[in-house]
Amino acid sequence: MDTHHAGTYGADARNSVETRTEGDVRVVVMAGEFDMDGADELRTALDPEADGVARFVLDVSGVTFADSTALSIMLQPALNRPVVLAGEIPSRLGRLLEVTGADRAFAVAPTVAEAVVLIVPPRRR
Amino acid sequence: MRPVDTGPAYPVPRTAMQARDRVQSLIESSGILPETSGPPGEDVLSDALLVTSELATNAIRHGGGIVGFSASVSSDGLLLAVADASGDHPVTLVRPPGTFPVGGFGWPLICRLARSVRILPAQPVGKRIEVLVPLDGADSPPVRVPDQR
Repeated sequence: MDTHHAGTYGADARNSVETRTEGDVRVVVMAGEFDMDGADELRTALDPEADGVARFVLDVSGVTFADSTALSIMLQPALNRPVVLAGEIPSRLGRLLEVTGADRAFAVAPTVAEAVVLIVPPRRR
Repeated sequence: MRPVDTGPAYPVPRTAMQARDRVQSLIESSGILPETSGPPGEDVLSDALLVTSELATNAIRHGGGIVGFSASVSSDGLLLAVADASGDHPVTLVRPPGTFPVGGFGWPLICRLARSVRILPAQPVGKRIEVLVPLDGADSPPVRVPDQR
């Protein structure tokens, strides 16, 4: 077995997803690494069929890695309602968003509190 | 060239995370990253880890699993090869404008970030995808510079 690093071997992924509701806004705090494994929690949190959710706010300040699989999950709710990225966007995530052009799918705000009330213009097609 | 991860001492990674960890350790111990910690160093490691994760994911999701893995660092960059047992080649799905389909953009991302990509047949079946990811920032897509105020 690899002995190069300390980590939670045996766990599906090194990440955490915390979800809370503030009125009709679902706030999802993502931390750690997001890829094809251990993505179920994120999928549930970002369910595009979620009822009573007018907006998703994703606190991404603690995301240390995300690939296109994770990005796909983050993009799904953006199809039909605003998804606002809150907190300082880590450079690796910013790089992914920029290279894929997915940065255009999200609004951004410096904090969760601001993201909750941010005025997001309707998307033009 | 400093070949690593060849030989029976190193098991083939089974997950995207294991593949990334392997590549991160390799790059960090190669001494090829700039001394100063700052955006340039972070950017190049970022691309290498992203490509690694995408290749591993494709092999696992579409190729039936990773059957071979090798990584090495040279002045040209990170040379990474991932083999799976499927003969199917990756395809780029055409995305209708204004839509965000589930998945399907791992392969274009690999092609965008890598300096070169080769698909080689593996014996008796399957394929090996070899990519070269620059670690010096050259050929990277331009990063937006913040406004100077």
